[in-house]
Amino acid sequence: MLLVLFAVAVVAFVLALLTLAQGDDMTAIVLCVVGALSLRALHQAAKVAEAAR
Amino acid sequence: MSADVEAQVDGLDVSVGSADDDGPPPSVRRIAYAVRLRSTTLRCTLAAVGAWAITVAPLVFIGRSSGLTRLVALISILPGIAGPQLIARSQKVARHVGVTVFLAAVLLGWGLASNDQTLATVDIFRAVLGAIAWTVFGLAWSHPWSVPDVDLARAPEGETMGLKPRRMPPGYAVGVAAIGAACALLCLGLGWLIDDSHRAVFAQAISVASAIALLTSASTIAVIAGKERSSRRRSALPVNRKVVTTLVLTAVAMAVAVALYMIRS
Repeated sequence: MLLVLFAVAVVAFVLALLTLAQGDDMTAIVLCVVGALSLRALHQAAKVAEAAR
Repeated sequence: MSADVEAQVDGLDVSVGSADDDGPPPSVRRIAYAVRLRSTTLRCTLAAVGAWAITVAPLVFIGRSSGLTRLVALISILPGIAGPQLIARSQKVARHVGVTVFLAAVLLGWGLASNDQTLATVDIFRAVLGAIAWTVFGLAWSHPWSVPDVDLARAPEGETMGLKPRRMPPGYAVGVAAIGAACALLCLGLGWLIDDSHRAVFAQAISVASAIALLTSASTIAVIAGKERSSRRRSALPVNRKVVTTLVLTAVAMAVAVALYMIRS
């Protein structure tokens, strides 16, 4: 699950930078938010996983 | 002959080991210590001068720069040269002067040059060369290369080598960390795709922030993968209410992104 969230964040950040290059700032910002939220979920899940070990 | 040999180098009392040890005589050790110390100083000085010459010195000579920019660019080299000369006396002061003050002065010079619209004239070749020069500067100052070998040998183990790992990380953890570093580099590279000068800084900020976030997250995954798994629980997805809430928010943001993309295209 952590890897899936990481992959989502990578795709979101890459797409954000690509859309920024195309001049679509608003979509880029929303994609950055997607990336940031997925990384936040990753860190929260990591805490849960660590506590379970 | 059993007493430690004291070497006087630049006013410092430096113990370089016992005279009863096998090895070169004290005079040779003293000379070797001085040479190593000076080579460290020379390495850091040359790295600072090189980085300054490539990326800051042009600001002094570009006609478009203001007088203040030229002055700041010119004097910014002083801490870069003075810092390494202090390595023999105090590592801490040397680092503060040679790294912190030098970088602050250079950044101030660049900031002033940015106001003068001078940085826009920098070509890609010089930018790449400058990036390499600053990498060399960082490596020259990085511990333990900026510390003379003799001081390293005398320092307590924890001070120089860090804690010894209790177990080796699995290959999977190393792979995840490497993939994270590669993704971070990809983001840093994509930041350079934006040509528009008004949005380039914004793009650089996003690319650097995303690179740091990805690197941190990959290392978190790698650390968790490297920990021993408890035998009693192997299991279920690491999910609680907070994680679910964040996942829902992520899904909403994704939907908004898709909607925006559809509307714009």
